[in-house]
Amino acid sequence: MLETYLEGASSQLIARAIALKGAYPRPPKQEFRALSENCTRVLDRIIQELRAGLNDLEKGEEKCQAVLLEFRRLSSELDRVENAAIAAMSRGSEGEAAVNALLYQITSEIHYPINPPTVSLLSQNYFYINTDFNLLCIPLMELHFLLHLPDTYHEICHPLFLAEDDPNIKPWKTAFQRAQKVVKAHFTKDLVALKNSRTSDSLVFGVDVAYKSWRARWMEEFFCDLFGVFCVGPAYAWAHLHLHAERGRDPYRLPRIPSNHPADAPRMLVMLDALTILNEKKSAALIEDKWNELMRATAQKQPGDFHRYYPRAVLSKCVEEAFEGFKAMQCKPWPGAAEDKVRRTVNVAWERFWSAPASYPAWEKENAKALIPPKA
Amino acid sequence: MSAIGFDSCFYERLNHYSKSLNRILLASEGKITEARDEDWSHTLQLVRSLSVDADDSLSASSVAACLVVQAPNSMSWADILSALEHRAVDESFRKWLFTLAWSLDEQRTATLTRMRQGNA
Repeated sequence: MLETYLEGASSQLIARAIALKGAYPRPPKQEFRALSENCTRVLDRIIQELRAGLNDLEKGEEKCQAVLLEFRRLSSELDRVENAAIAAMSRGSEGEAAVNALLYQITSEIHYPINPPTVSLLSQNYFYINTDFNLLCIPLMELHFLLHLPDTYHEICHPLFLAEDDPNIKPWKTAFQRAQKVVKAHFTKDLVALKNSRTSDSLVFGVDVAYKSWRARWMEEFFCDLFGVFCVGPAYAWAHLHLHAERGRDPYRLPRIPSNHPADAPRMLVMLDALTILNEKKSAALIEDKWNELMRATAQKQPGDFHRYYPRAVLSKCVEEAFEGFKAMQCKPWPGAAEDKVRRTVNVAWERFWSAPASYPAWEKENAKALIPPKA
Repeated sequence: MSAIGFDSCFYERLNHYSKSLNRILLASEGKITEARDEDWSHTLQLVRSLSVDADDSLSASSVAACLVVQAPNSMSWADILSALEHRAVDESFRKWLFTLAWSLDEQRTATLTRMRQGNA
């Protein structure tokens, strides 16, 4: 049965991949050129690998297991091409040329060390990056507003972790690995100590979950936050406060299962440390005050075991190592040059927001427009 | 960054290790598909991270932290690593490699589902 199924399903998937090659605009718009080339390359490879799978088919279910695994993998890859990359190109909007030009400006100001991603305004879920297509997705109207724009810097950090054998990125990855060793040493020691003490099983379990989360996801998220602060300074931490106030969950959440993201409070802690490294102590103090005010207003308090999940020394080490890596990568930290229009504008935006909240929307409208390069 | 964004990074890592391991399994069954040097080195990297909590690769340690895979009763982690280093895949080792491959498949499928729903 299985080989018959795989023969039919693989043939159908090949037909789908071929049809998809005709489903996106060609020649592509200038801003989608790289994405279009990437799609064609991936689709060609999927077709080739599915054909190889068909050749590998043999009679007998046992023998088909590996072919089935590979078929499932290729099917999911085709899903990604269709739903992430081709959807972005075929539903592109007028604003995309502008937002891609803006991203180019952002990456030029900070001396971003690899090719910038393509930007799509297709996001229905805040800012995120599809690293498999180097495709940054932001909400449709975001181009006209400034307060969340600093989160772009976080997103463009993720592809740095995936770049292989790239000398420009090596210092960043090496710094990450050094911090990773500190995380490992800390949690290994702490877990042994907890297991040997009279601590509750629940705490041991929780700290173990925290360690797994650090290894799987948190470290990278912290490093992306730090990259954001080093690029755009106080505006990044303000944007974090804004995002938390708008849609954040428990800022001191202690996970019971491995979690995607660290809680918002420790993220703010590392951002404030990073601002101090950047000689932005005054801004850090101001942001900390507002953050504490927000915590009080929402009756949020740090739980007793918080430090076991987010050890202060480990957080500090991440800040230190990330800054070393950032500088060694030859990226240009905040405040950069006087002519760095984007990062300066988003910082001025936050100053205006606090000093004149009522007139801020009108100011923002003018200044967001002014950021878009004339050609776009 | 929204969780969906992280999932796309994670999906890519899972896909990367799945692909290499699948090729090793296909080749070990005498299929036309051949495993490449990089397939062996990627798989070795992942298994090292699974076995000794190694820190040498960001991608491998991040993927390994999400997999629940034990060494088989008949082999220690050292045996498994040695078998991979020597590219020696016998019947019982192949069975374990399939367990690992399905575990990667499960994680990748779950990740893709979360991304489709947009509410990871």
